[in-house]
Amino acid sequence: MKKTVTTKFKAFTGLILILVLTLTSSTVNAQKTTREDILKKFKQDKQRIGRTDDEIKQTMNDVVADLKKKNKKFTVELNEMMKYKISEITGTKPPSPDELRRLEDEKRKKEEIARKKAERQRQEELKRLEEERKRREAEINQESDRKKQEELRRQEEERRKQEERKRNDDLNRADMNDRNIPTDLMPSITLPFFAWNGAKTSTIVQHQGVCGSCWAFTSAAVYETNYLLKNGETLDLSEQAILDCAVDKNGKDAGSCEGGWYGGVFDYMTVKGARTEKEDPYKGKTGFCSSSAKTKYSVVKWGYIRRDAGIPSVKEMKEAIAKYGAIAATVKVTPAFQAYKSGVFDEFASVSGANDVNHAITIVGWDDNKKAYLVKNSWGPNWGDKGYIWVEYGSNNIGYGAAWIIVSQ
Amino acid sequence: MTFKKYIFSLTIFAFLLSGCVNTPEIIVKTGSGEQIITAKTGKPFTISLEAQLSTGYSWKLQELPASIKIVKESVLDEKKNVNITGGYEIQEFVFKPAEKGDFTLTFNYAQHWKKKPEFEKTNAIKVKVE
Repeated sequence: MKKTVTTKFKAFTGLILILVLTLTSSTVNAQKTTREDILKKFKQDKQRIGRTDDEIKQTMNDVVADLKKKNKKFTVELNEMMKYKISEITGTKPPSPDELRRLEDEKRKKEEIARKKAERQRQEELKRLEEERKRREAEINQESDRKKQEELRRQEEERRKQEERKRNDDLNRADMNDRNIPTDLMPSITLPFFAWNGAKTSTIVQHQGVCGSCWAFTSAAVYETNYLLKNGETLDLSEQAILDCAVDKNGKDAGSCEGGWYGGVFDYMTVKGARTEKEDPYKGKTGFCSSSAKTKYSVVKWGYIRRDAGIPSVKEMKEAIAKYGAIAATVKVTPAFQAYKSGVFDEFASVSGANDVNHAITIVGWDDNKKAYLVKNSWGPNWGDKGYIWVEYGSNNIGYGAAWIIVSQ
Repeated sequence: MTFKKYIFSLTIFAFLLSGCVNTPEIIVKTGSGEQIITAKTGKPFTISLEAQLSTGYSWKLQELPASIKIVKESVLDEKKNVNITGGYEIQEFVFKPAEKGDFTLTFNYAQHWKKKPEFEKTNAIKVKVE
């Protein structure tokens, strides 16, 4: 293919050269050139058609140089050659009109075919582009729909979660009005050992001194522990305020330094709440109530583990500890109890009945291996086992009057 | 209040008995000062002292004379109609003298579980054994 083009190019160049030469010689020798001369010259030149480009260029340069040298001017005018057809000069034969028409038709057909082909290709391309556009549009729409769907799903999910959270919060709030320990943090009663006596689950052991205010100290200790468990805030409530102010639901004094009962305190705290140690420090003796203003440290609900305030079973006690935290209870204190240092206290002192108790304490845990409750006392941290004692299940009427309280949030 | 009346009546009753018929029982209330009782050789006598065991405090005999033996030491069971904790109770000490003579029984009220207990109260009871 390339070779054919080169050949054609050479033929065409040769033709131009002949024309130029013809014209030059026409100009130079216009007056004396005859037809024979031209034909002769043509024949000679025709033989030279196969010259290279450089040769042609050289020839042309020679012609130009010759013209300059002779100081001749290049002019075009009618000459003898004009009388002849190109085909006569070149020896080519022009196509006949029919041939021309045929060629024209062929050319038109070819062009038509090419046009149609191009049109078809264009249509196909357009179709392809359209399909592509539609596909992309579909994809975009699909993506958009997917995103929209996802967004809707996400919003729905978020709404559902919020509703669930709200419902859970409401339930928890309602539930937490019936317990101090959230369900998910509640210890299993099947655990052989459990106690609310850790650094983050207990408050310090107080010292009631010579005043018989164990009931006030137990009330405060139970509230403080459970408030810490429920709200994560350490409190130090005023036992003095309880001692001086607390009255039960019937208006009867909850107690004094000569004894009392925490039930009356819980009644009072349900209505009035409790004051802090800072507000009313402990004096160790009964005094006048300095303030009965309502406080935020109130009891939401309270009750005995057993309706008759009797000694609960170990299982009942464990359930109460797990659900409510520290439990207010009583025990019969004897000199042997006072002398406790460590181990398990198992005196099983002689008692006249289930209610033969004399001391209010706080039960904070159990140990089935020891078969004992862990009891927080109010004789300071130097007594017993850092202020605590393990009392064997059933010994000294431990657990009589066991009561739970639900503290405020 | 009923309990206090009960204690008071018991005290009066014991005092009368101790003065008239040499009863072996005497009840000493807080702040009632020095008491004198008369006992008989070989016959047990009881000293009851009011205490609030729920405070961690209790009565403890400081020193027991060689001729007197301690037979029993207990906390008086009390029937209660109401729930109460932290109140007063009676600590009973039952002694049996073996010889005649005059003795002093000193009781200290303290938190005896402490390393160096401080006596909140002290009661010295003179016993004349006949």
